[in-house]
Amino acid sequence: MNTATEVTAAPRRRLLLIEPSALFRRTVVLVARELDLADIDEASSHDVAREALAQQPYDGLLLDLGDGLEGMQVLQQLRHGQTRSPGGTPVAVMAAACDAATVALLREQGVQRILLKPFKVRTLLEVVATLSVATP
Amino acid sequence: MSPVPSATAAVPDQEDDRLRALHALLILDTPPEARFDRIVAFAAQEFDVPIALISLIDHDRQWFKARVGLAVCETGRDVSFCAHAILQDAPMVIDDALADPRFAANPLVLGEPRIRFYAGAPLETPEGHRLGTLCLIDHQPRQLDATGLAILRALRDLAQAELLGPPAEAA
Repeated sequence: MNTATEVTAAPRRRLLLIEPSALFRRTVVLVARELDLADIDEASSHDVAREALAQQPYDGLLLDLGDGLEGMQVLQQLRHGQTRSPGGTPVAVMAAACDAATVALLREQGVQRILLKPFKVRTLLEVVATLSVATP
Repeated sequence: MSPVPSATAAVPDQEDDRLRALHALLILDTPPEARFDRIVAFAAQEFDVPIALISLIDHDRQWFKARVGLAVCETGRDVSFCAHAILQDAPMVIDDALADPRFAANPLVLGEPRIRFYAGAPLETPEGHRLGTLCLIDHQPRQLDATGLAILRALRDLAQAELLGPPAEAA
């Protein structure tokens, strides 16, 4: 029997997770899928992320900032409409360190959340849930 | 009714086949490997538990392929929590071992490592043989919510893939 929920259910959000740690990445993807939070594509590097962003639109990014702020370039490409995703796509940034100047820069770029490493999978899943319901 | 002193786990169906599958992996008594050590270290940190193990249930012992927070590399199967955990598909969660008649008198509860909380997710072959577990242990009672269970299962899946398949991408 079809229920109203089945008929009207919105398609699940598709997010892109850019994170070098395979163990962390895989765990987040598996749990988000099991808990029906989002479909998450993985990128192990910013180069891989750029390829993914050129291939299809995403509803949100979970972006590792990188040691040399390589993630900032990806973020700026997104904001400047140089990907297939809307420029205002929600972004959460993950960083090993983040000084005041970087925080200001990330704010200017409209980043929704900054997560300082190390943090737990559970914490990122909470962010995934938030990004998954955000409306670009 | 008098309390059960310490219940030893039943032997799984097809135990001979299960042991054959375990021994065929040629993993028992091998040195530590980073790909498994990473997983238990990650699990211990994620769940804030002092002990995390990849335990394999041999004929009369449980042997730890990877361990955090435990000095010994094996214990007897007769006192093993994981020997109970491999009897079911779903993770076995014991909120408080002292409140569970199967484990209240277990020497691993009354003595070192003083297990109070246990959560073990079975490591299973494609043929359905549960060879051991990825497990979490705490010295305090605690509970695991749905998200915690999902994270444990995900880490179990990754440990299982490492155990049964070729080495995967480094973390």
